[in-house]
Parts: sequence; structure tokens; C-alpha cells
Amino acid sequence: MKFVHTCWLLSAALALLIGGCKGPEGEPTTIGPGTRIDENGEIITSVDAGDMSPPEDQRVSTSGGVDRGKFEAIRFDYDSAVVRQEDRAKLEEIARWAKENSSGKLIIEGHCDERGTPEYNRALGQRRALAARAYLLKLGISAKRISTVSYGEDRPVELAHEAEAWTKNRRAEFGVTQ
Amino acid sequence: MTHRSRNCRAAISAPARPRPGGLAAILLLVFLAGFLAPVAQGEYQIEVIKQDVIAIRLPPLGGSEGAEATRILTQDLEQSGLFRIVASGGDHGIEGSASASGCQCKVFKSDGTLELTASGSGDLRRAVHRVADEIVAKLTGRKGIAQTRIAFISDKSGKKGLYVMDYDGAKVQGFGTSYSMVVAPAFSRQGDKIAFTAYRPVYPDVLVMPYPGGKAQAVSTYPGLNSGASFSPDGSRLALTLSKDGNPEIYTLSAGGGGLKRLTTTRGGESSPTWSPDGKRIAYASDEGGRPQIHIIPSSGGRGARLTSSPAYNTEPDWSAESGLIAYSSMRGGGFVISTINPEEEKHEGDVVYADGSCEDPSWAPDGRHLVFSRTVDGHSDLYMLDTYRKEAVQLTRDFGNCTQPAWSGR
Repeated sequence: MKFVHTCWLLSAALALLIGGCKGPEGEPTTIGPGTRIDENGEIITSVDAGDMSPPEDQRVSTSGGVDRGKFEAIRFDYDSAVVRQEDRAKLEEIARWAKENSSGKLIIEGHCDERGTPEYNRALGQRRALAARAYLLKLGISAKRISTVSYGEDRPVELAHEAEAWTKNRRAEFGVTQ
Repeated sequence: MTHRSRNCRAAISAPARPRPGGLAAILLLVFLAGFLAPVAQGEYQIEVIKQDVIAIRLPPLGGSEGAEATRILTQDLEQSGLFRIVASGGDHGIEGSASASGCQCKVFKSDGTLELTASGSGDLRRAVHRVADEIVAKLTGRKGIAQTRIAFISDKSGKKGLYVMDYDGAKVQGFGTSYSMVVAPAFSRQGDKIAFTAYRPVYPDVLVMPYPGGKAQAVSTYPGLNSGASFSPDGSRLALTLSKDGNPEIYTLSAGGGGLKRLTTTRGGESSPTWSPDGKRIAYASDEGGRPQIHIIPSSGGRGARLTSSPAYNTEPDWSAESGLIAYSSMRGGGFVISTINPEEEKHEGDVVYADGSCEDPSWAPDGRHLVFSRTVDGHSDLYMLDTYRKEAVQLTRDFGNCTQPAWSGR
């Protein structure tokens, strides 16, 4: 069975990788209601919890458009959200750009292949985006300049139902907001 | 490998649970006393629950719409799994008529005494569905599903959007076309609200929309992921997945927004929360232990416990308010089968209930007997309704793009 491989190794590595960006452990917290205005000018109930327990993740504005062609996507192993050794150079290139362009903001999009189920894949895609983000934070990029989004299996780059397409679809893409 | 299903015990025990049906439910058990027979689906032997059903005569109904009404009523009664239409004899007989303004029927016992009068007005399909549910209620003591709806996602328009159809696949209606993508719908048990995830246009938010119509309200717009909402039994709260604290976890919040409460704290990813019949527990998929498995956590907070442990990938649980069984997607050999498990039993592997093609994302009908799920063949997905007793599935969607993520309404 090709699906059964080193889960424990992967989760241990993942724990090391994303451990730094997890919220505080302990009791569940309750956050009161509020409002904010979104980018379309709509009033939205339910607050960003920012002022209560600072979430490091941001939603950078995409209203000016997003340039998705600037950086190469990184790829992931099956059912894994661990940044691969060979993709670190790509992230280091993004970090260099971010340091040279101090006003530039990034949106990281996590994607999956079609083999899992939709909502599990949406969570997995989010973990892939967060793993890439965690690596950029480690390289010194401010959390305020990075937002994450997951499309799960909904936005494949290759539509074929075979291994080569799946390899390309398990990815995180990097967009630069204008 | 031959998989021997043990679902007979769980499925048979379902009608024996106490419910307001009272005497009628006990009488129904007499009808339902049956036997088991295995059917083959691929490599699986799946137990079918054979049972005696109520034989009922349905000569063609009169009136200008009689033929169409007869067809709809026949389908409703047969798909309930509780009736068999017979040409002669039978325990009961139906007489009636239908026109563009509605449908009226009388049901007689075999000795000719009137048993009930049922009628529905307005749209013909809906009128006949109402008659069917009245017949089911009177003769079996159960609530029928002919008037229920199914919300689902289709990419027919070129982008994933929200649609609602009748339980039989008719009368499809689209919603929320202004969003760049809509996924993961959930009906409230009362059938008066639909929660869904909308990308507006880039980030996914959870919105709640009154059903059958009204303005959708954003209730969860945190940074990162907001998705997979599910209503508590009374409709007042939502369970969902948020990643705002650094990792996808299960939270609950008020269905009107606010009152956020975090439930899980793991190194893995959590998805697809679903409430227990009494609302005190929430089942969800978590890959905390490596590959995803079904877990259960108290909805008031506490420690999550793993329910399933085999095979290696189980996701998308849906907890029936009626039978107490949890249905879920279970990966077998690269595709998915539909399995069910009774969380009150000391079991860690569910029973396969449907294994023909790759099937995902089951949702229970309010009768606790029927499931709807998406079935993918050659890369194309349609919705199917399964009678989990007879193990017979009927196709609900056709030529409507890829249809996925179905969610059955409550009553």
C-alpha cells in the first residue's frame, strides 16, 4: 500500500516545523461578538480575535489584484504538510525578495490533490500554507505581511486523474498583492 | 479480501430506539421483522436487511394530473422503504385525484373502511410529497422524507455554487451566485437555515442563510480557514473548522456570529464536525495520530477521543439524530466507500454500507435510514440516495455538472 508510510516521522517533523506558530495550549477561550468592515465595504459580524489573543495570521487585502507568477510553487508529499528540504531554497528566495521590498505583502495558497475528501483537504491545504508561512517567519519575515488561504482540492493545476498530476497539485503557491 | 459486514445489528437496532411513535413504532417492528441476505459490491459482501413491507394498491389516480401524481406517489412510497405497490390484494388501497391545484387521496383498509384522507395543494410535486408523508405517518407511525430537501455543491456554472433540490432530485434551485466559490453546505435540523463556506472572493468565510430565502449573514470571517460548519440540534450554534490560532481546529460559535469557543488543541488538522443527537458531543475527522480518523469530543469542551482506528483514512462523519449512527467516508484501495458506526459500541471499525464506485461525504436523511452521498466514476461526480436497509442506491443528479458535498435538511 503506497499510502501507508512513515506517518510518525512526518508528524514529528511537522510538529517541529509548525510548533512555533501554534496558539497557547490550555482551556478553550470565548470571544465576544463585534463588527468589522470587509474589503467590499460590507459590515460583518463576528470579530477578528486579534485584540484578545493575538492571531499571527493576517488577511492582507487582495483588492488591487494578486501576482501569482513571481515565485515558484513548492510541492508536498502525499497527505503531508511538511516543507521538503529541496523547496527551502525557493522559500529563501521569497524571503530575500520580502526583505528587499519592505512594503510587499504575500498571500500563500495551499492546495491538495483530488484523492482525499474535500473538507479534510481544505484543512490539509491550510496546514501546507501555514507550514510555508512558518518557514518564512523563521527567515525573519513579519507575520503582518503574510496571509494564508486554502483551496483544498478545488483548484488543481493539472486536471488528469493520475500520479503525475497529483504531484503537481499538492502545492503551495505564493502571490504578491499589488 | 472479503469483508464481512456486521451492520445488520446496528441497523436493526435503529427502529427499536424509543421515540414518540409509541405503539405505532412497535407495531411497525412487526412489519419490519425480517431476515438478512448478503449482496456483493466489488470485494465486499454487504448485508441487506430484508423485511416485510406494507403492501398497498395504487390504481391510477384520476384528474388532469393523475398520471404524473401516480408516478410521484409510487416513487415516494417505494423509496420510503416501508411500502410495496401491488396490483391487487394488499393491506390497503389508495384512491384519489390530482389537478394543477393539488392532490387528494383516501386510503382504505382491505375491508373497505376509510383509514385516512390526505391532501396537498399548490405545486403538484410538493402536493403529492405531502400526501406521501401523511400516508407514511398514519400507516407506519414514522415521519416520511418526501418533503425534505438536499443542499449540495455543483460546478455546473463553471464555478462551485450552492444548490438545493427536493429529496428526489427534482426542483433544483441555485443560491449565492455572487461568490467566487461556495463549498461545504449544512442544513439546520429545522430546515430553516443553511450554513456554507464562501470564498469572497479570495478568503473563505462561513455564512448563514435563511431557507428558503433571505440575505446571507457572515458569521465567521477569521484570518485563515473558516469552513465545514454544522448546526447544533436546536440550530443555535455552529461547529466548524478555524485556523486562526495557527492550525485547523474545531470551534463552536453562535449561529448568528460571536460566542466563539475552541474545542480541540492538536498538532494535526481537524475537519467536518457533526453534532450528536442530544448536542452534547461533536464527532469530527482528525489526523492527530497520523492519518485521519473519526474522533469525538464533548461540545462543552474537554478531551477528544478517537472512535475509529481502521482502515487508514476515515473522514466526513455525519451523526444521525434519529438512529445515532455515524456515517463517514472510508478510504479503501485508493477510492472511498460509505461506512457507518455506532459510537456507543466498543468498535473501532465501521460497517461498509455502500462500495460501488468511489463514494464520499454521506449525509443522513431525518429518517435515520437513507443517506445521500457523492459518487465519482471516471472523474465525474453525481449524488446518490442510499436506502441503508436494502442497500439500494438511486441516482439523484444527472447532467448538472459535478455534484458534491450533499447535506440533507431536517424535517
